[in-house]
Amino acid sequence: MRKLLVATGLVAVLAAPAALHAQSANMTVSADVQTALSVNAQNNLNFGAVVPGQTKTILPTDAASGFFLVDGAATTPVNVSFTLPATLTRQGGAETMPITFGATSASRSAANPPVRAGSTLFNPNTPITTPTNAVGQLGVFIGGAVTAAANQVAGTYNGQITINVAY
Amino acid sequence: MSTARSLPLAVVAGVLVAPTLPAQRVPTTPGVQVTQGLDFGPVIQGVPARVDRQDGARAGRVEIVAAARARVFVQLVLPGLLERPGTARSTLALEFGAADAGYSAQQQVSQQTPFDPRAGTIATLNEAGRGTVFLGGTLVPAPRQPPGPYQAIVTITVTYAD
Repeated sequence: MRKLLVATGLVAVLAAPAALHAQSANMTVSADVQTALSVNAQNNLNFGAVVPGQTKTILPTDAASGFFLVDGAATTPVNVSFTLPATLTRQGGAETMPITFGATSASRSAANPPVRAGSTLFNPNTPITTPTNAVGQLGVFIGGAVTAAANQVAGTYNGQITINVAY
Repeated sequence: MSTARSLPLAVVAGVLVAPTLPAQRVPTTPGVQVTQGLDFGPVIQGVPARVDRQDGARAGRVEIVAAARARVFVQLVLPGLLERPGTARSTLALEFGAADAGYSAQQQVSQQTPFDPRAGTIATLNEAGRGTVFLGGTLVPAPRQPPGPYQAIVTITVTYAD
């Protein structure tokens, strides 16, 4: 028994220097999780009745303008772009009517909640980067202009505007 | 006569050898210093985020200092989760792949030899007794991952291999 104890002690003494040669350091791994972006159409862009031969314009600040509500991380820049139609197509037919979007056809609001009044105008043909508000919301409003030809076939004309948002 | 001529030669040799003596002072313990954490920055719920070990701005960086040309064994203790501190504690999955770590004797992020951080590696330090380890990884946030800052710790241990 005594011999065994002596042998164990010897091993401990020999192993000690190897442990002294190890050196460690800690590295921090970090990440900041942000809320995923979502966007919903709150209101369609509605030109209402258009008389043949008339050009009708809806401003983004008008109540009839389209309204997209973006939800994401608070006070975070968001890239906004549109896929815009060049024409509207008659429902149940093939006739078209041109639609145009100019330098002030869209606006954005980071008010809480986002509102048309006082929103900042921008050109929907050009992508922009703009921040969300303190609760992560951003309102995007869009107007435009349609021109009915003198011989425009009567009916309801539709098109589709797609908004693209990304951090 | 011949003995008298050999003595000056011995003195000259001693002078030449003397300057190399400081290099024989080998550190008993390799030095390890983390100079940059592994920072994923902003990540989006439900969207996996990867940091490449060659990403100089985000990859973790560890400097090793020991004897010139020494071989050292590099081991990493890797977490599987990041944690969000606070009352509503949450975790975020962290994964490491077979080539998510790299070693550079040149200490350059662009000149790395990849290795598996889960297995560690034996690295040979450069002439100045230095080398750098880089670390990347992948985060896998859940679709409803609670937003906020998350953190974890990686422990790096270095020992002489010889």
